[in-house]
Amino acid sequence: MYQNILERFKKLTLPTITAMKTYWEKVPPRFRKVLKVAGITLGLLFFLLIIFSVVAGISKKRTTVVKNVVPSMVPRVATSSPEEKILNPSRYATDSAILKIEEDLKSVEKELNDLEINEVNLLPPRLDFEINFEK
Amino acid sequence: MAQEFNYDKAYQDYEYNYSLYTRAHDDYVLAKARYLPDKTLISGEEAKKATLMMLQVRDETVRTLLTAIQMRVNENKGLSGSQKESLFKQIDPEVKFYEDHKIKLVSAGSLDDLVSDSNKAKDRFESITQPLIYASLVNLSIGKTVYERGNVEKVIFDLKAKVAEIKSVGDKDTSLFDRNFIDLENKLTRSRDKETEAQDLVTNANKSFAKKVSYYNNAIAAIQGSYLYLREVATYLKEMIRIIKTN
Repeated sequence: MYQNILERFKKLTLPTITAMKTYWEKVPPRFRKVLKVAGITLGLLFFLLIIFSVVAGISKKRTTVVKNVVPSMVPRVATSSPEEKILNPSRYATDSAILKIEEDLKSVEKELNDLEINEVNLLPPRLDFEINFEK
Repeated sequence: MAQEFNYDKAYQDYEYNYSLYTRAHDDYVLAKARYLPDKTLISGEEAKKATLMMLQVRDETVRTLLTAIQMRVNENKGLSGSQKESLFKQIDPEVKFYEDHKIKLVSAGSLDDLVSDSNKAKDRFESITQPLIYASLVNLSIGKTVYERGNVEKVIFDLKAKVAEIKSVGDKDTSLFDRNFIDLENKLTRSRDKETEAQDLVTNANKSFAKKVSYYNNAIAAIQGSYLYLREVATYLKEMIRIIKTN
């Protein structure tokens, strides 16, 4: 059975191979060498291209796997508490008078931050005072 | 129950009247454009009607703005009673002028009469009302920084008392604080100087409009300078408290 298939293949390809041989013999000998070199080079390039594609495909697959396996790193965000912590507190750190002054200062700071110096809404509006019926 | 008349209400009135004015002014421009080419009797009557309406709403806009400023002055915590009185005494006659002017407009018999009446309001606005508005706004801004400085000074006063107490106990080095309090006083003096500078700029403002605006902007810049000194003082105080709380 295998022999049959081989025979059929030979029969099918024989005319093409014969035709190619005929064309090859018609090519002048000095060009044959150039064509051989060009053919080998193209073949090599094609081979390298296939190798490169396979390697790239594998490495991409690996990267994807790595991404799936290793959990992504969550960047650490520096969080600063609104209250500045005193690392080496003195006996006045909990003193009621100091805490009261600190509280008053916070309230002053807030008011200063919210303060709008300029009363933009009350600036003179654009009013037309050039009333005439001459032009 | 009657709604309390405060700054917010006064400002709403002003905004409403200004929106009426912009519409009335559009009508006036349209009526004028229809009247000018042929000057027919009908288009003249329409122009007179539109002009009268526009001038009345213009008067009302200025009057409500002045009232809003009065209310703002009244609610300002940094201006003294006499300063407020002084501003009210200047604003009241202006309010009266625009009230009377609005009533007088109705009696105008012709377009020329309306133009003449409009020019009277223009002169008043440019020579007295507008400079007064700018001066009032500068005073309002000064009042705000004066009030905040008072709060800052109270914190300094309390902190000084506490530092004196700590000094008497002698369990903490307070030698640096004396110098710090002098620095704070200097900054407060600079803050006050900036306000005086702003006040002087407005008092000596030139009468030309461009210069008035320029003086006003310079005065506001000076008050901003005063405000920045106050912020510096607050930061300074915060640091002093941190030092007291630390060993």
